[in-house]
Amino acid sequence: MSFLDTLYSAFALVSQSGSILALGLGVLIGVFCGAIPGMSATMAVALTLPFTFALEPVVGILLLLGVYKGGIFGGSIPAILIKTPGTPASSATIIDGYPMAERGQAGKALGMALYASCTADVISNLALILFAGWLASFAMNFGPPEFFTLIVFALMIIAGISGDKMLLGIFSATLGLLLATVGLDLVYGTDRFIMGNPDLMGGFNFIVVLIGLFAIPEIIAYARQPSDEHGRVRGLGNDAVTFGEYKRCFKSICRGGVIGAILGSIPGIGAAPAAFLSYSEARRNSPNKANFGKGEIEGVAASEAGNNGVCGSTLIPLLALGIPGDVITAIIIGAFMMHGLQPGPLLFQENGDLVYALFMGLILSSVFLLFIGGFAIKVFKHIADIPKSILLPSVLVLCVFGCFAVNNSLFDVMVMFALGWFGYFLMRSDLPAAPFLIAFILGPLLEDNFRQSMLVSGGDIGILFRGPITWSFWGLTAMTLFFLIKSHLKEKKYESERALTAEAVE
Amino acid sequence: MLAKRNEYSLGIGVVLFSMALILYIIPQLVVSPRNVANAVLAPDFWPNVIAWMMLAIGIGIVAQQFLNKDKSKKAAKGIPSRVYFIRLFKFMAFMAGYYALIPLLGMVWASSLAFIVFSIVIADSRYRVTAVIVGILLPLALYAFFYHGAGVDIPQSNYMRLP
Repeated sequence: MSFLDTLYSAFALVSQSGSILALGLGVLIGVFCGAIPGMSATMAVALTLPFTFALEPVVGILLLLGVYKGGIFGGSIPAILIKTPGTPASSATIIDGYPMAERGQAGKALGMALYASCTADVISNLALILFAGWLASFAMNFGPPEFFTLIVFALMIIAGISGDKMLLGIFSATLGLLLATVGLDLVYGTDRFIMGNPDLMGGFNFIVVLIGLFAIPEIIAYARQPSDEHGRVRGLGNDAVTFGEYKRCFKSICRGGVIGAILGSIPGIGAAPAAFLSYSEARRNSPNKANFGKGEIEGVAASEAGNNGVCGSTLIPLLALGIPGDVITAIIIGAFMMHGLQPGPLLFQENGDLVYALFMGLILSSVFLLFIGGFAIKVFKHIADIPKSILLPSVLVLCVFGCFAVNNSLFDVMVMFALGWFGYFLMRSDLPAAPFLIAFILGPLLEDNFRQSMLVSGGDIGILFRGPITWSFWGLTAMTLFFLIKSHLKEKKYESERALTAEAVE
Repeated sequence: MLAKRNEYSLGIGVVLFSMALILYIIPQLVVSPRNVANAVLAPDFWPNVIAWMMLAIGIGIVAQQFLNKDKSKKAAKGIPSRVYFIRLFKFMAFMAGYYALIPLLGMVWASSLAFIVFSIVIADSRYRVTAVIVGILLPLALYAFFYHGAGVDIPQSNYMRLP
């Protein structure tokens, strides 16, 4: 199939009414869920996943991508209106968004958040389109040892930076790796941790683990301390964003989009750090830096551009290498797997039409976001008012139906509940759940590539150091570890000094 | 952040768990054939690697706390009070009850009941009428989608079967 044929098939896939409807519906669901405090974009994507079983792959994946994009923008609505970020990525938006809302300019802040999100989204999508194919063609040179070292590197970076404490993050990742070993051994077909239970022969289902870890702990945390209270929802006001204001913020928006696109392409960083970095860079370079933190519209633009800039580029390592960069892309990889597709370099060769259909769909999603987001600002302000005593029981029921639908198995529902309590333990112990989940997904791939390498080399570990690619990944892993330890020690030293100063003051 | 004492406990817990894995759980629960030509290909090799990594991490967490000169008393994350424990225990019982009721009442009616109990009894919602309406309609809507739309065989009650 020539490139033009592939593009034509991709266009045919994305232009079917089901795809367009799924994308629009996805953005709508995402904005709706993102606007509800207590429902993160992650939870929204996780809960939508079971609904994609019956859909065609391209339709299902576009639905999830729409939810993802809408969810990240939707988080800015409660951040600006009630000073509570709908998703962690919107935390930076509060700094200037809420003071604007207090001044009666919530509508203006939300409008700028929307325009910045859409612009950054386009930048991020372009980054994806330009770099994913290139990276995938480079990754065609990878064999099992190269993939093994790549996964080790990805796990190190994800485990190391996703929590306050490096060792806890790595421990969380090892727990995920351990859970991934449950089931029949792929080479010898013998039992591993099955304990005679036939339901465990195929291992734990990814979606069950995901919902158990990311939705149920929130419900348990609410049950521990139930309350419907939240901040007062501010009015939108009469001001709208002018073209002059957009033009004034354009540089910060583009910078934020580029920052988001770069950080998003690195596994493990995610949208929140991108938003804060974009915000601080905008403040550093702005002539109005004194107004930042007091309701500066450029601050809202920068933080929203930063977090939405991540959306497209997080798909670069996912599509090109099969490595999910964060929890949401980990869920999206689940959708690929459910439909018998394995993201990675071969996906570009074997399912090129699907990949290009996704690219086209992503560009279309920015347009949908612009229109649906504009509508949502006017209508969804009341969503932040949904009481948690209605919302969280709804989430619980959705989880039960969704989990059951995976394999038509009540055993999965039990596993989800058990993992929910485990996730709650992780939450209370400050153990980050993201490395656990990503290690759980990458675990079988890691082991598989290791065993294939050993089969090829006859058990010689030297194969894992066989060429420049493996050496590069080992080098990157060592460098990551070095910098993580260094920053960790620096933080410790700073904490000790601060404690000593506090003691001296007392 | 975890209080220092909690991190000690966590570190010791990790060490004990990894030791249990290495000494008992893996030898007992991972079946490895005797005729494996290469030890690195054996089914228990990878779980053992993970267990040894955990042991190293556990020792690292304990050592880090031991060497940590930070004498500041960090604010612990509020030691859970008895009230919280009781609430959590009740919620655990509620989840077990929900799960047990599914085969008896079917997923739709068990979910309706669970929704209403969660919202009105556990969360003490002020929106009781809404809770009852949503509690009945949401499981029905999900049933319609999964059973009629996606072809998932949602468990049904023998007494109140849905079309």
